[in-house]
Amino acid sequence: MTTPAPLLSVRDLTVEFRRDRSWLRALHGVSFDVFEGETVGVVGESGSGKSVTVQSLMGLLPARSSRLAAGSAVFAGRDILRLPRRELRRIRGKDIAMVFQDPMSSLNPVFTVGYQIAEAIREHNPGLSRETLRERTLAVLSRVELPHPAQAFSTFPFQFSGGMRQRAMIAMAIANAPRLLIADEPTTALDVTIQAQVMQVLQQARGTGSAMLLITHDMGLVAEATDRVIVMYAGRVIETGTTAEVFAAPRHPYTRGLLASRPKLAAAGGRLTPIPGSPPNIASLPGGCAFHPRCALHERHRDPICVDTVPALLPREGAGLVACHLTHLLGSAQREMETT
Amino acid sequence: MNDAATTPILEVRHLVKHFDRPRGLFRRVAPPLRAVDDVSFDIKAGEALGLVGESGCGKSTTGRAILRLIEPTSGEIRFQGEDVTGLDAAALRRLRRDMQIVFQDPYGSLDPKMTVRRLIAEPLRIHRIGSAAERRRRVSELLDLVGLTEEHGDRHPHEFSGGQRQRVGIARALALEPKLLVLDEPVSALDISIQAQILNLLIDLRDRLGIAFLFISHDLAVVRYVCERVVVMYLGVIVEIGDRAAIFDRPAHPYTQALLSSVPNPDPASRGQSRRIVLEGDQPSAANPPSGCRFRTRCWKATSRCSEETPPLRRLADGHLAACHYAEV
Repeated sequence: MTTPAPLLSVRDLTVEFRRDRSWLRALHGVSFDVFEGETVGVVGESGSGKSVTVQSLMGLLPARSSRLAAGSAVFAGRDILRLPRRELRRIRGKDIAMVFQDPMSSLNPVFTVGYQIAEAIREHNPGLSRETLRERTLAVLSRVELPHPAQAFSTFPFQFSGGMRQRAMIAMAIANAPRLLIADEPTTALDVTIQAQVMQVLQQARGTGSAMLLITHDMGLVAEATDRVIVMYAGRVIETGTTAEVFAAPRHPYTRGLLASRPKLAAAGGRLTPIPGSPPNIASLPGGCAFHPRCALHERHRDPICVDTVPALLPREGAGLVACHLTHLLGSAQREMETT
Repeated sequence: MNDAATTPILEVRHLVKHFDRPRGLFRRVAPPLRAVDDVSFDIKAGEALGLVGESGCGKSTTGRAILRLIEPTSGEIRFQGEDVTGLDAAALRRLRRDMQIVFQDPYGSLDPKMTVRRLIAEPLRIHRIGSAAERRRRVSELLDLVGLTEEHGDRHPHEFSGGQRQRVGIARALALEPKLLVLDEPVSALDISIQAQILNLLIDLRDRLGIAFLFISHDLAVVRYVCERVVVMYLGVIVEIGDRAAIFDRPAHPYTQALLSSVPNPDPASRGQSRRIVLEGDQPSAANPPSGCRFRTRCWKATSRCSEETPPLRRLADGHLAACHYAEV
């Protein structure tokens, strides 16, 4: 069996931000692939670099205060990190589209929803007649299950509720049938019953043809909606794998800690095991493995390699990768923890 | 269970809070926002009661009205048997020694110019408790209680992470040894790994100090972890009350059922095995709630009876009540 070429291939993505007179590194060589039609989750806490990753892919980093120190992101054969603005615009909104946490960041408050979606379609399909544009827009509006598409067409974004606005933004994102949809915390600001509606719409409306990169801090959402998952910590990818494998048998102590930190709704399980300390500040990252000061495994084994050497991302059992010097000790440590 | 555990420390009766809204452009009088509309419940001494619901359901307004941080429109709030709704400023200050609040945003509630030690000592100073030396000792105790060191005490809040700031907020709230702590989304702004630290801290503090909690949250998994009894609100009214097992394992109100089924399942192995109830539409406006049952516009069980008759909170089993004509256990 030959592996198909990835739709998006990010390699060694390294991004820095200016603070005072120096450059702080926010991403340290991030690499991952997204294949045609799959949903990939990117999870991490504040400072993990998940949002910076997305912003660099979309060319949304502030030009003056940030810089691309290294890396490439090849989408359909072209490095989108180095495209001229005009060409990037041609891809953005057509082949790659985005859904944000705050719909007002991509909807213009002074134009009707219908006008904005029609414009998004027209920009990439010049020469469509007014009637065809209107028809296509109405079709997109009904695909995101806005109750009265014709009415929604001539509604201003502020007249919608949060959930409806999120649907309008999804409509705009899928209007040109993108091959890759990047969703950055798309339901974080929404109530849980509305979140369920919006996720359902997002999954159904994009259809089977397009891939999705779902950035979230919600492990439940990842478990439910993704095929593969990328776990980030302090600007690095620390574990990847199929969602089923990573959740069933996390091989990085941080991933394991994250999963043990969330109370379960389904069962009144035992006491939570928090990860001690807090995510590090990118201005003062710990040496070696950035997670070592919070790591239970390091605490137990005190191996100097964790303090001295950044662990490489190496194949883990199953289909993924893990960046931990002591991952081979993880299974036994867990059993020890359970027996004590 | 001893006697203290069965006597309510707080009794809320027919609590109503309406917010007047600015008049419309053409001087139409806008109907008031009925944020909390006839809410009654008790909290027993030492009990952790969860108050859950989505934005706009009135849970935070209820919490604030209990502390009289906002004035209730009507209704009665009795703390240790005493009606607090009519108290004057001096009596209210006394009351606040026994009832404290922890907010979601630890950033907003801490004065950035003060050291942590001063911040924690402030309630003691305001209430003129102890000598300076005694207050210093008490602050050290409190720092230790919430898992901070002496050295942390000399720093300023901006030097702290979100989790540490929330610890400071909790230490401050505990300074006066309150009997009831209102916690309004205390972990919602924190990273997941930090949430677990704070949740465990809260559980330990309650075990050690025997404080009652009114734990307000939209996060059902967190409420299940912390609270032994739960009140579910929707659009200003209580739709269901029950102990942890009743609410999470045998929810009777359709809204509670939908709310629970909407929470993403964190186990990919059992994906697609449970049926998800996806509610239609949005929550209606609290200024103009539906007649009869307020949930009926989104309810798959609604009949004409639901628009005509307001369902009362009805007892289904011991301590388990639901406001639905068709609820059964």
